[in-house]
Amino acid sequence: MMDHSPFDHTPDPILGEALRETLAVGDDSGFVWHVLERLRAAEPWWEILGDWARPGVAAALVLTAAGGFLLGRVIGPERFGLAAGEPGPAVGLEVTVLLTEGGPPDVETLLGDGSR
Amino acid sequence: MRNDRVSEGELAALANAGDAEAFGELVTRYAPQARRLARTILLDPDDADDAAQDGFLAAWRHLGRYDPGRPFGPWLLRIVANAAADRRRRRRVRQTEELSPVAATRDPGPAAEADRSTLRAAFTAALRDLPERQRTAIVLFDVEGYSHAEIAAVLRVPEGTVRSDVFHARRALREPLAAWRGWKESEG
Repeated sequence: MMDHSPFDHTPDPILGEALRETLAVGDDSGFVWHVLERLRAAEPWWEILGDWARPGVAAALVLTAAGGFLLGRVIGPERFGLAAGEPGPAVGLEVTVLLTEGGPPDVETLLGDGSR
Repeated sequence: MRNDRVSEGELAALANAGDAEAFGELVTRYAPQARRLARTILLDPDDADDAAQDGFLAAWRHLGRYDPGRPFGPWLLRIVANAAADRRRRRRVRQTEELSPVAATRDPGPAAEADRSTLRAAFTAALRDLPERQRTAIVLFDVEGYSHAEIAAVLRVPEGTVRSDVFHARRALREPLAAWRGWKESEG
């Protein structure tokens, strides 16, 4: 007969021992090694890309800046319709006037062609 | 290997931050339980180890969802149980389960004559006859020492269902257990 009733709410050590032996799983160290190997092998592609992302973005920015600079040097300002040494288009006069005048701009200035 | 005093919550937090050594410590601590649980569900040692490995890998991926305020064991075992169930579903499609000749031995014989392997075979056969949830419940309760509430969390069933499952499983294992006790007593 059982020493432990099925109604007992405490573990039965003898039953536990019998089941443990029935379910004996052998050496754990090989199992642990396999799990960790699978972990290393299963590193997902987005994590590998993630490792590359930060230096990749930095390198792309440097290359873009350097490429832009070299392109500007090779093509020259005349390709943009400017003679060498000539300044580019002036910043809008109207904006300058608006910013430097003391009072609020009048309606003619805002809605007109900018001439005073 | 890390000191045993490092809590599971700390190890899980380290592992979640990418510390593979911390995760290795968790695997070492829980490998026996995870392997036994998978074997209880699948009843096949090779499939069980594969499922337990699947479970650990899934746990690694979902460590961010683990609440360090709760025990790690039931959380992990829930994942391992899911991995074993997945593998069992795939296996069902693949093949029909077969009992090994040893496991098919049902009669343990008189306790005085029964040797250890015969008794093991009797337990294996009795376990196979149990519904999966009952055998999982009794292994988690009587082997791993989890409470009914923790087992309920692993199996996602009410606590009363776990109590009932443990009761029915114990009753079903009465005969092989009596033989086992007799053998233990004869061994002195």
